[in-house]
Amino acid sequence: MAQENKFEWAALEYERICYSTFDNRIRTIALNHKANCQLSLYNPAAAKKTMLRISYFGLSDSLVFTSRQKSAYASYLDKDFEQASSQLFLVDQFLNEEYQAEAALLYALALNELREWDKAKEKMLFWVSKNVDKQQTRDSLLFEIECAYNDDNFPKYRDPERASLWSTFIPGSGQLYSGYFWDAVFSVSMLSTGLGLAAIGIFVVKYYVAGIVIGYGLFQRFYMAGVKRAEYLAGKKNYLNERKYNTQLRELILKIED
Amino acid sequence: MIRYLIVVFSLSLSYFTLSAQHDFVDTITSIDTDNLPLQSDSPGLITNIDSTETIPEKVQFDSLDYFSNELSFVSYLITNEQYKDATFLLNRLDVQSKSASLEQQDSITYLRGWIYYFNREFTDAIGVLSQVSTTYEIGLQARFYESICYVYLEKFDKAKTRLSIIQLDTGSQLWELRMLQYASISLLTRDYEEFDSLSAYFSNRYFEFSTEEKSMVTYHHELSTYKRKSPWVAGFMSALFPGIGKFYAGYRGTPLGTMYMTLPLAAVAVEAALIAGLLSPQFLILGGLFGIFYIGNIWGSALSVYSMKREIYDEIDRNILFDMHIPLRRVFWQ
Repeated sequence: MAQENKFEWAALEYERICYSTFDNRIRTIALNHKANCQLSLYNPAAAKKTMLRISYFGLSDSLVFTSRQKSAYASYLDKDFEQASSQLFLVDQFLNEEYQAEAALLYALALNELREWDKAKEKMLFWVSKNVDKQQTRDSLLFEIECAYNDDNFPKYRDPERASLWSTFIPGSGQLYSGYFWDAVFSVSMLSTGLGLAAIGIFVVKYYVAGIVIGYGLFQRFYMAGVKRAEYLAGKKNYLNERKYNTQLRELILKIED
Repeated sequence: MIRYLIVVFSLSLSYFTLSAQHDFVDTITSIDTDNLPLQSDSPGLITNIDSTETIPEKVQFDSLDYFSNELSFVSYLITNEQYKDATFLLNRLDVQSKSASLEQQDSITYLRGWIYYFNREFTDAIGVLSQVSTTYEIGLQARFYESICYVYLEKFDKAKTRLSIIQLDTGSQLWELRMLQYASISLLTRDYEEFDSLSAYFSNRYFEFSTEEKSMVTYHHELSTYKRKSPWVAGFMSALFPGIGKFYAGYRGTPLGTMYMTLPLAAVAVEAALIAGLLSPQFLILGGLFGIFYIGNIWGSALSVYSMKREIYDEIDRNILFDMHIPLRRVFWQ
């Protein structure tokens, strides 16, 4: 049925096997196949849920590895990088080097997303050492990995809390810290307008209360918004930088795998 | 003579037995083995059948056992919260259900309706559950679920009608469950007299819904003793000091918001009156702006007593609906 692209039905029949068997090995194989069907239906969340039902007691190493790797793969596709990483961490802890090497690239992908680039680099180097025999190719790949994972290339992390704190004390500075110059200019100019209105009200037209209420109202709104905005912009900048860097790394990993 | 008759009778009996066996052997040997379903096509592992296709005649062997196994599997799927898979299988079974027994057909329909109910698709659930006949016990369950679907759709009269057609022995567990459902509907329709007459039948001796019976009495007490605050008092209080009326109505955060908007505008208007005079354009504009917010504050406070009542009632109604649902789950899905 899976071969005929009747994945929904095939998944159901694999579930039937789980229902009817008491043999954990058969159940595990069925759940693996069911997850394959769900992945074919572009439903990694369901595949992840299916794989997390596996009980690893009494299974062979090869089946444990297949299951953990598939679970990590489905989790990775579902953007649950913590789960993917923890599944592959267990491969490292309980299975031999042969399996660790096989899972290393996927582990590196998950670690990249978790900003653990040093560990990801270790995994990449480990994979090359175990899978590439030809000296020249190996040296070339090691060089590429060293270049890609150079400390200078790591995206600079902007702490959202620090950005918020900066903007609390010096309005606009949090936006500058996050790398958004014009946002900072806008924030400062609106706050200045609020203060200016208050000053005009108090010192020029002598409408003290109106000046304070309107000026303070404007200042207070943009001050609070600026603090929140700085925090948001720091997160946005981190996301964009990481996305760009991790996309480069992913391309490198896929190239190495080929 | 008698011995002769016995011999003749024995011979004729042997003949009929042998001829019946011969017919059976003929039947077996005449089956086209090439067209027999493969092992993978056996019940429970049917392949190459689209959900819209009907099952070929020859595959429908031992159909009662097949449907019985399939329904057990559906129950397993539902218990494991795999509703999508369960729906997929039930739709297939529904297509094939001609060879099932009537009770099994009802079970298939009932489970389809139950999943609609669980997914809160009440109109579809009613459409399917109403097709379950009352011949078997599952028909009772279907009527209860159909009734609660009507309750969710706020069609209380139809909900009562669906319950009333169920034949039950007075004092039985299901009879008392029906009383609980009736009483719950009377609370939802705020018919407290009817609730009093129905709650007299609560015995609290069925553990599946004794807690809910007590809860209903509590809800009744809360609903019947709740006294809505006066909108006049709320409006008057907010006229004296902006936002206080909402505090009186029971809100705790929103009064501050009202004060935050209205009081600064009042200060600005007073300042304009003192500096430029009551007939100055500054005061007329700023005073007018304050007036809009001030009247809005009074009107909002007067209405807030109704919205507070509505919020309290809505919360109790949600609890009532939940306490109507739980006993059904306990009684019918163990």
